[in-house]
Amino acid sequence: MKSTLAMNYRMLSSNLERSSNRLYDLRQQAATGKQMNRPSDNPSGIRPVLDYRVKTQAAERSLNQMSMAQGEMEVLDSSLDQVENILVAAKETGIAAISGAANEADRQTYADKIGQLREELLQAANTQNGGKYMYAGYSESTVPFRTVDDGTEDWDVEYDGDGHAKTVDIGTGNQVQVALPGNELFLGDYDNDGITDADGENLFAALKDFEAAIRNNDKAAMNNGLETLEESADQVRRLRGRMGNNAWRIERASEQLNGAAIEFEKILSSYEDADALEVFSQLVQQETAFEAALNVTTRISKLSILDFMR
Amino acid sequence: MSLNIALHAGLSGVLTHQKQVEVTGNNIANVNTPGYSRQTLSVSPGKALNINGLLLGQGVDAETVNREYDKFVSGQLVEQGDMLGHEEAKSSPLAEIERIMGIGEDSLASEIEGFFGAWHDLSANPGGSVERDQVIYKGENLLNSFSQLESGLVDVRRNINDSLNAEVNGINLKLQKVAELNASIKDKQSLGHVANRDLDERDVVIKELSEILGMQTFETGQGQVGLQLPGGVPLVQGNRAMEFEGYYEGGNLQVQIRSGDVVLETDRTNFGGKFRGLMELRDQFIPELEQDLDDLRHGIVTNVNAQHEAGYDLDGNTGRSFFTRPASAQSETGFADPVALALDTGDIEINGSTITIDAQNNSLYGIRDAINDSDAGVIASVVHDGTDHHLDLTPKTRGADVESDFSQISDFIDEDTDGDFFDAAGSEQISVAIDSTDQVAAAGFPEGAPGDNVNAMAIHELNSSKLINGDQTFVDAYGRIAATVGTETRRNTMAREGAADTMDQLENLRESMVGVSLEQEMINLTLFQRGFEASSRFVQTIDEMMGTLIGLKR
Repeated sequence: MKSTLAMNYRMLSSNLERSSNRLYDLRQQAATGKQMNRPSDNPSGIRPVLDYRVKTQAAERSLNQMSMAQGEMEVLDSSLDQVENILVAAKETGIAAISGAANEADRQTYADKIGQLREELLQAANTQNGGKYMYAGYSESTVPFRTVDDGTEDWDVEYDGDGHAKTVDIGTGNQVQVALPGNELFLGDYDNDGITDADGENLFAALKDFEAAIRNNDKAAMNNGLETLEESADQVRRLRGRMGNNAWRIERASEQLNGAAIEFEKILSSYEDADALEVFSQLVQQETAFEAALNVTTRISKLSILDFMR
Repeated sequence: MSLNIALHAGLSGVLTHQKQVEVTGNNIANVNTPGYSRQTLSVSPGKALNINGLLLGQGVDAETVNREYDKFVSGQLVEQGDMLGHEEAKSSPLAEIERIMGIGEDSLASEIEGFFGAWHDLSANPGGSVERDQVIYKGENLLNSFSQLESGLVDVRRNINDSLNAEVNGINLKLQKVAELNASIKDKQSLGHVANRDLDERDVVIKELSEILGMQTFETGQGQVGLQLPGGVPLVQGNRAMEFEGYYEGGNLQVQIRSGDVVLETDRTNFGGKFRGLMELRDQFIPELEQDLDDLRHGIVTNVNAQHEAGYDLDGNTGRSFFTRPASAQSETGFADPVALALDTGDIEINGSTITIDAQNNSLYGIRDAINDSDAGVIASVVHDGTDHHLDLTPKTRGADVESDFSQISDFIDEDTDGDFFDAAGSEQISVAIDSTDQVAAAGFPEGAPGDNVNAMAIHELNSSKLINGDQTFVDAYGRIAATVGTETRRNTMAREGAADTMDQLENLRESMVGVSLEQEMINLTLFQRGFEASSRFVQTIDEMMGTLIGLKR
């Protein structure tokens, strides 16, 4: 057995090649900051990486949608506040009209006031937010409440929207309602069959009846009307409470998703990102090894038997 | 007379050492010649003459120049060449495939996510024309990404064919060379020469051939070597070499081996080395990837189509496909009202699965949902042809057969038709089938109200459903494909490095046995030079002695 020059150079060149390949890998990791640049870098990590990347993107989108929904619900809440105020104002007017101090002229004024409130209610019911009718269900481009002339000076309303409520996804499969269809809120018609349900109140009808009662000075009807108005306000408050609860759920879900998204990023990073400190220390180590290999190469070429045979 | 004899002995010493120096010089000259085996001069003492009862040696005889040779190591080198060629050939196509099947932010997984994300965005604003436009645009993007991956793989296959084709001529020259060397070695040996150079050269050519084709060698006497492929196909016998011929079949290069009029067809199992490696990628690995990608696209297209067909567009139309339809089976009978519970009840059989239709679900939609809840291997949907609704059964695997028996539901049998399902020709090139934003079926209710996001939600949710093989989401399925590539590339890298290491060690082993060591040769050179000098001095001494003898006469 002998060791020839060719053996030494072959050994050196394969070591130099391996060393420089490793250096390239480390430099790439340091430059990109990622330890997974190709599928072969960590085949078993591919599925989690893709999975968490998709989850992170989906979470971002969901968070966006939820914050949009929260904005819409704030608008909805202030609109509901307005509706409630109209009903409260109507009730106050009614109490004044019912009191013995009111004379015929006062009552007509009060009745006119109720009529104006009803106009206001119609405007509120046809409110738009961002060009969409808030109380039209899915038919957001349709004016939901249409006045119908019933032959008298007063009008009735008919609902042209639909009974669906827009929802937002607050996590896989969980939908939260973020809008109120007008048939529920204003007509108490939960099944949207055009007839007010037994346990619901038609706000427009309540005001119209109350106005007529004041005009006719029908005490019994006025008392009844007051009760109906109270129930109508309750209906608004109940739905408003439900939407408030939904807003709270969205808020909670949004906080949770935010936390989860950070967690997803962390997991993603643990697979994908290179540990800068480790990469740099390995880089220094590998550079030293490479330098040593180069050193040996020059040493071998300096040493020759020819120098000793003169 | 003995001085004359001594003079001859001295001369043989001078000449032999001169030959020794020449052989050493030749060794030094070939120190860097690949495959060169160190040569030595075999010498023996000259025949002894019996002179007056004394046996006197007659100098030295130079016999032959031998090469140092280790059969075992040479055999190992040929075998290892096969392994190394196999893995090395795979490495650059695999690197290319790895680049195509990326896992970065711009991979197919991101496009899939982008497409379903667009439906998610649409669900937040189902009436918005920007969001509707995005859904169409992202759908086109997704299909483009699939096409890019596919054409990338086609390119890799074409490159593989090109490199195989480029090898064929070289192989023929090398086989011819082995046959010629066989002949030359036989000739030289019959004249009593040792054909060292030819033997070395043949070893080199065989090793090169082994890296390309994988090679088995066997000695056939008179110094000749036979070659055959790992599968046993003979390539060189004595001084005859077979011929490789490449031809294209189905876009792929195939090789046939010709010997005179006999033609032998081959496939990848006949070969080893580079050919085996490249053909394995081309005929096995890449087609499997293409199939997986195709299945994934088919899964996305059919599931999205089925859900899209169930929704309503802005004008209240239903039954419209989002992507062009792959081949499917469609009912000849059309129904005006898909919701009415008015059809017969009974059992339907599809691909061996029995689906029972009762009074709860005897509508077109009911049948559709019942089929989709079964494991019949089809995706059922209801398509609208402009006037009527038809039941459509798309196989979950593209191009698979749909065997259906609807005989118990007589409504599907019409007097004008044969009552059967007909094969609806599918589109080979999948593209986005809808052309206006109004046609995006985001709504789940027949009014198609602009605020209705029910179907957009449903389509978005497909992305988190395990719809590929029942256990993978679309993104999972891509991850699995990319992981297959990653695992194979990793295995190849390790195997290639291992094979290269082993090759280095074998080369070193060979080198340590039969290679040229400059130190050894230089010391030998000195030794032989001194021997030459001493032999010359001996001749001079004899000459002087003869002079002394002649001087006696004077």
